[in-house]
Amino acid sequence: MSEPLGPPVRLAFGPTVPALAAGALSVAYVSAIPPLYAIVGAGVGVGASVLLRGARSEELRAAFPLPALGALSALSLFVGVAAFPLLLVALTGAAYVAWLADDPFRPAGGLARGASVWSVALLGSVLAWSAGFLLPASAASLGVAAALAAGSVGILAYLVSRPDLFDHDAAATI
Amino acid sequence: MSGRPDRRAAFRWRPRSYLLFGVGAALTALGILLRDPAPLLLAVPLFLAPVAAALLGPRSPPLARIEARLEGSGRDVRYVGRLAFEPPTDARDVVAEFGVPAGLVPLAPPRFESDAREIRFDLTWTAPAPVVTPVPAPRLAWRDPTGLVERPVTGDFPELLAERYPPDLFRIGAVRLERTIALPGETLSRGIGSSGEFFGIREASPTEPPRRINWTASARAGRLLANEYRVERTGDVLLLIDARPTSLGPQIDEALLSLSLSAAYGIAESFLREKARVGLAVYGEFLDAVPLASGRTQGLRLRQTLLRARVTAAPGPAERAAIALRRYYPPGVTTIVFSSLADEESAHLVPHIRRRGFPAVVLSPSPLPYLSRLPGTDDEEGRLVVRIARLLRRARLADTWRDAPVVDWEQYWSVGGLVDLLRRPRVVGRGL
Repeated sequence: MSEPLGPPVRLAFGPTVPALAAGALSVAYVSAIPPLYAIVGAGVGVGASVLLRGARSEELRAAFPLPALGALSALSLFVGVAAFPLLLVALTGAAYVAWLADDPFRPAGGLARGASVWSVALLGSVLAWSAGFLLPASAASLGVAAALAAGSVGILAYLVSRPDLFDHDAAATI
Repeated sequence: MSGRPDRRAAFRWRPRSYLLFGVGAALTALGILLRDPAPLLLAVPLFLAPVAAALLGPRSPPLARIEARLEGSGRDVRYVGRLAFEPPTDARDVVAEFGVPAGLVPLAPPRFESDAREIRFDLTWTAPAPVVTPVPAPRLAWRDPTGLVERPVTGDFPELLAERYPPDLFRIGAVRLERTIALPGETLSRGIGSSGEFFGIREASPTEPPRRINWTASARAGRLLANEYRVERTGDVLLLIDARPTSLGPQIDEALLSLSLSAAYGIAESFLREKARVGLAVYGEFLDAVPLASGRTQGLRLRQTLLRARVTAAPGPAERAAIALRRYYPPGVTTIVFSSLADEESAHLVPHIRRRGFPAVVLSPSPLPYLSRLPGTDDEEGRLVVRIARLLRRARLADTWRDAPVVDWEQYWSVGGLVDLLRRPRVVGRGL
């Protein structure tokens, strides 16, 4: 199958790359890992993703979401429980989703067209953060949290297994 | 029938969604195990984004309005068109993947231009050898800008056929063919057209050529009247394609069959244009026959038969072809046989059909250009093999000449030899 030839690597540096890089570096800075290692790790992760995204080889390009996501996930495990670092983590997650929409191999304006998706992700992150830190809290047991998480995973598994639920009407199956 | 829609034709999560769901689930589990809210907060957008993309996109397959056509001349085929979408579907979110038709190779990178309403495409291919091949419909899918979910796009693509055959075939229709019907010359076609025997007078249309106006009748009637003629049928021709496997191997067999199909297509088009009756028989294990007929509908029948012709797995005996031909076609019809004559069995076809009363002319696509391109034929030993193959082929063609004239078709873009042969007196029809 033919596809339009890809842009050079430099076009992979879209407007969301600075946001993602700033978020990843900030999370690295506030994490418990020594700053040098953390910042280098975040930079390598984001940089590798950006370079892979600009690769002409389709196989390489398919792997572009992994390094940045891996770096962010690893860094998030070492972020302390404090309002500002956790807000940075939440915002960086939303920035990552926005960065996915900014695809250099597709027509320009993906960030604007995908605004509904990343803004939902951003809203959810901010709500989760504010629920954790701004609302009056009580000592919630780990069991309740685990039950909520298990329920979420169950709902998620159901959604993934039934993509037809997202069809408004029956698709034409000629 | 279950009421559940076909998942392949409906909404689809893309691998990127599975990645986000998987990482999100892992982060959730780690967050609970480590009693750390940071992984949980990172998991939230990863969970939400695919679900939001699924819910906020179109809820049913978007409909595309499609205009496409084939252009180009010579060996080049240019495929241009546009795909238009109605709001709320944004054309920039539609991914179009175009396949290259079999037998064509891309000549230039495909060009796409898109705005919110439509995608314009321009693809250029070239045909290394004569070919008749359908242009595959592109795969269209709406994909959300984050690349997380996908939904197929529906629309009716026009069925286009890329046909590139030797230009000599345009003039082959001028060959005078033998008729095989009773009282030749006295049985007229029922078709009415612009040439042939006078049939009647009718009202002239505004675009009528002056030669067709009956000026005397017009002067009497006081309005323009035009002549009508009975279309004259020129004769009959049968195209017999040998689609049996040979010792050359499946790849070369397919390539040679593709050449034969393209030439048969060009010959059929040319003769049908001249209002001749054209029949087509493809012989693999059994005979697939289209009886003699003329007209546009016959053109469509021939086209469908040519497009479904494939090299069969098992070869049928040559005699079976000759016997089956007599069921569908009258003896004496001029027969053009397309056969590679690559082995003894394929060479036996010609004497058998000749004995059954079909005067044949053989157009034999040569396998030598393909053999000389095979790996290992660059060294001295390889060149010797090709040379021996050439000598063997020459000997086989000479043997076949005893039963029918043979055109060695090695320059694939020219069949001047066949045209000249058919134009010779006493070569076509019963006189052969």
